[in-house]
Amino acid sequence: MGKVIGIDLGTTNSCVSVVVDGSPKVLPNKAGYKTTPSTVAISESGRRLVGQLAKRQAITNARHTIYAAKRLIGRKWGSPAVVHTMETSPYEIVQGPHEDVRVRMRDKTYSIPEISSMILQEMRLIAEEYLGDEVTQAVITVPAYFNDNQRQATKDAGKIAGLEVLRIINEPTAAALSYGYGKDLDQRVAIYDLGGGTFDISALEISEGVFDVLATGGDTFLGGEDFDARIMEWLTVEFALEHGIDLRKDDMALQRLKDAAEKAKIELSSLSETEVSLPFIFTRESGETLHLQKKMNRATLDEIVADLVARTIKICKATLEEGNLTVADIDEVILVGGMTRMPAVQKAVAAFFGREARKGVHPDEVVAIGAAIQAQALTEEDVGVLLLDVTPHSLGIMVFGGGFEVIIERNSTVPTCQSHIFTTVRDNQTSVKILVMQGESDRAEENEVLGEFVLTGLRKAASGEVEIDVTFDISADGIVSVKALDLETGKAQSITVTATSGLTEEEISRMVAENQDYSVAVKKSDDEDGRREIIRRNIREIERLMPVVQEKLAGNSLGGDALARAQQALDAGRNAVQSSSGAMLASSAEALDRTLSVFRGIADRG
Amino acid sequence: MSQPNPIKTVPVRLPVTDFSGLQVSPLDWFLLSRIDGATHLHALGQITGQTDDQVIAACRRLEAAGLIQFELSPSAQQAALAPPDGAWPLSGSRSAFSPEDRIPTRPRAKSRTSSGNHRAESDPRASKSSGNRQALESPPTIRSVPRGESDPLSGSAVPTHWPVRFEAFMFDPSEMATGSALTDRQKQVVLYYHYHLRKVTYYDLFQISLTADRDETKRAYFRLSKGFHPDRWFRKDTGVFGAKIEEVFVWLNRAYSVLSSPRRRQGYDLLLGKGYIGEWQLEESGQRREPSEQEQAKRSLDVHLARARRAESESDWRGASEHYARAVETAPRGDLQLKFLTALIRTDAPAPRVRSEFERAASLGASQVDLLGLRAEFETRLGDAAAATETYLELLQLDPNHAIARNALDRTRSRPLF
Repeated sequence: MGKVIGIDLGTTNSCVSVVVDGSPKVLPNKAGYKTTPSTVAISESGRRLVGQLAKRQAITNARHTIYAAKRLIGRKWGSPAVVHTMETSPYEIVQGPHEDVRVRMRDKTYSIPEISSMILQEMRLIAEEYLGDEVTQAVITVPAYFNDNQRQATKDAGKIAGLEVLRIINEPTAAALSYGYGKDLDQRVAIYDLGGGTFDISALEISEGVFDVLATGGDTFLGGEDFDARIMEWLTVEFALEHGIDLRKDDMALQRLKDAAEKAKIELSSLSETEVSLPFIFTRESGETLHLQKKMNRATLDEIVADLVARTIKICKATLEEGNLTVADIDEVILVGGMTRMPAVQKAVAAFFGREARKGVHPDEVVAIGAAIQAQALTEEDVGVLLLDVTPHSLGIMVFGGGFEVIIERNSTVPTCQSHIFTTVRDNQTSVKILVMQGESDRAEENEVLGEFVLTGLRKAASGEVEIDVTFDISADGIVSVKALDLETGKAQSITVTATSGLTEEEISRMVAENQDYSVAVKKSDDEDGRREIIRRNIREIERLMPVVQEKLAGNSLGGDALARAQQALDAGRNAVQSSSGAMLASSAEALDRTLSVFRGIADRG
Repeated sequence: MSQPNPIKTVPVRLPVTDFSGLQVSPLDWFLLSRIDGATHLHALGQITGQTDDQVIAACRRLEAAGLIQFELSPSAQQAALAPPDGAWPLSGSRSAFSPEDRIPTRPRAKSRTSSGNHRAESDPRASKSSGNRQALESPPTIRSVPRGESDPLSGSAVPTHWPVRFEAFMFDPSEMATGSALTDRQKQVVLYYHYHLRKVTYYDLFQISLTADRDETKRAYFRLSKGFHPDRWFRKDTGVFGAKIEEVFVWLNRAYSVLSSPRRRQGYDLLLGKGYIGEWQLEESGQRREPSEQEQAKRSLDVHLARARRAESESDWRGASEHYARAVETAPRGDLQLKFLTALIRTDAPAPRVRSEFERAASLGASQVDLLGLRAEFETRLGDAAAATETYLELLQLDPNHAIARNALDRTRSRPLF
């Protein structure tokens, strides 16, 4: 069995890690970066681009470049989050066939799990390249506050990418695993995770290798993207005041603004002032071109995002209270997510917890590392790590009058099992409908529906006389099953709740198949095209150096031999470029590499 | 400490499934069907319409047939309680433990005499001299779990004070044949825990005392979780044990959510005091029942004794006196009244109140020697040295070797008398 990888599927960036010989490693992508942008695009020529490549061409291909897909995953069409994203995104968002959300690139619509699967696929390739072995299993992280539908959609994305998702774990929990792994800790920690799109806060108790989640809370629509949006808004307002033009109507301008906003935000983490300069951002009908040039200082930034920061602190407070914790109970505060680099965020967190956050934890990499550790703990013996995770949302059923009756309370450690007795509401009622829901509102309609079923054949009796026992069960894998039992007749009905990701089983298997074809194609062509390119470059370089080397080696007895070998390598290279044999390409590329370094050495000798 | 009434002994059914070859009369079967591990002998007699003697005789027969467990013989008890390596890692005063500090799931049967007869209800004071029994009854069955101790599925220790002894437990061979990922020992431990989930209190499940603090509770839970969390057995061949392991963990979870929340724990303690094994357990298994008055009294007594003891250890005399007072209310016993008095005196309660409580102690049959010792202490506290000396002299007449009295008198004599 191959290695199990841990993937942090982030809103803006993703990261992959694996435990090798007991120590977790973050794997760099081809460009050498440890994080890969969670961006997917289809180029004009119809090529699928993922990661750095996709992000780099985003400005010129704004309509067909999808970023921050995580903000849409598992959401229903028409939900506020989707409406908000539609207003601010240059790419096209359309309604799917199951009230789900789809995006359009070129002429094709894609489901959100499909988009995420492309990113996961990329992470998988990075890992395979590093390990030199096929990777088929993964642990993927999601924001702690994700609901079941969002988790299921993420699982489906893994499936489409050809990965068996062993477990979905919460990002702050993963961060805690990474922080506590291999240390003999006995403390309570708070994980403040402000990422690209989501905010999570979790409190954990760590002792003797056991990681017990005490409480968790968050907001799945609050993150760096919102900070960027505030800066964009500020810039567009300033621009509009100056020129009377709304830049948001222009997709390309919007994309440039977004990039500039993100850059300004990052710069203001270390500088007190920065200049946003976007030349030729708009052309009037008269042919006059306009430039956006604006100075922004840290105080301005802090002011326009103050309410966002305050919102995170409010959630921290509520979450601690819910876990019967006070700030004094927390021994350590850990910051996760790129947004925690912002001084205003650090200041607010330090002020709330009354202590500086712990230094030395890499905010971009901890989550993936934690996922890799959990993967290891699940599949290997004696890792010495046990994670006691909780269910982040309350589970219950709808009761008469549209109320919501909680059966499993949020922050219950899983696996868990709870039951509650309900009665009929009408005389001679012979069946009851059990509507399984998730959420924190007393009103059923405000919560997420997970599933429903009907228990029939109840005895005809006066209202309230027939008792029905409803049992909720959450397994260690997070699978929810619900059973309703007529206490009188022993008649029972149950369902295993399969949260809906907006995709049907058939759709997923079709996507899996499609993607498999594609993945083979990507690997082959990517590898071979890349190698061919390298071979051609090396041949050119060797040919350039050839006269110098010949001159240097003249009169040297060994020189003739070396030149002959070089010539052989060049010939083999020219042949290989024409062939489609992967092995030939590989061996030739290696030979040319060697020759080139020898040549360079000789040429440099002066 | 008074002797438990033998007729209040609770027989426990052993998990026997194979009844072939057994000779049991229908009447005994009927009795057996009413043995639920919570009903004592006298109540069984009332339920089945038999006299106490008949019930005792029938239970003896059932015990001989290996169907129930009645009580442990002294040697078996010792064997069952002895630690595997021969030494209990007792360290610190908190880990030393006497049985009253926890809530037993039933009144513990007292040891049988060699003749095999139940001792008749005897004068509580007479039993005081049988120190041997006490020694047997206060084994260190519960201790705080030291850091780093292995979980029950890795280590060799099993709980020693649960209704059915591990050694006496029957394991179903068809179950034992499944689950290649577990060793036989691990399978046995899983079955043992699983069987007892609804039969022991959360405290007993965790093997912690009623007064265990947050940290001890946490450590016990973490230790057990390491063995029973389904993740430890992720995708391994666990046969029938997978579901059982998960069920055990769900219980551990439930127990911890109660014990780690001060508010819910208080509620649970109250329920224990009222006599439920655990309201939630009974609700779960659908056998909600009203506990008998005796059970309620016993629980209440246990809770107050535990609280009083805790208060004592913190020198909180007011708290101790309050809880001892409640204990005496539940069980008007001389020895408890003495403890109450001791705490009361230390709160510097008004002298007339203390005097009336002394009278009550005497009427409840508290030991004369103890009473005199306490009276001397009281008088000393009041500053009435002469009275104290007199009391000590009186005490020495009853018990010429009373060390405290001797010391006290020696001190008085050596002190200049002006």
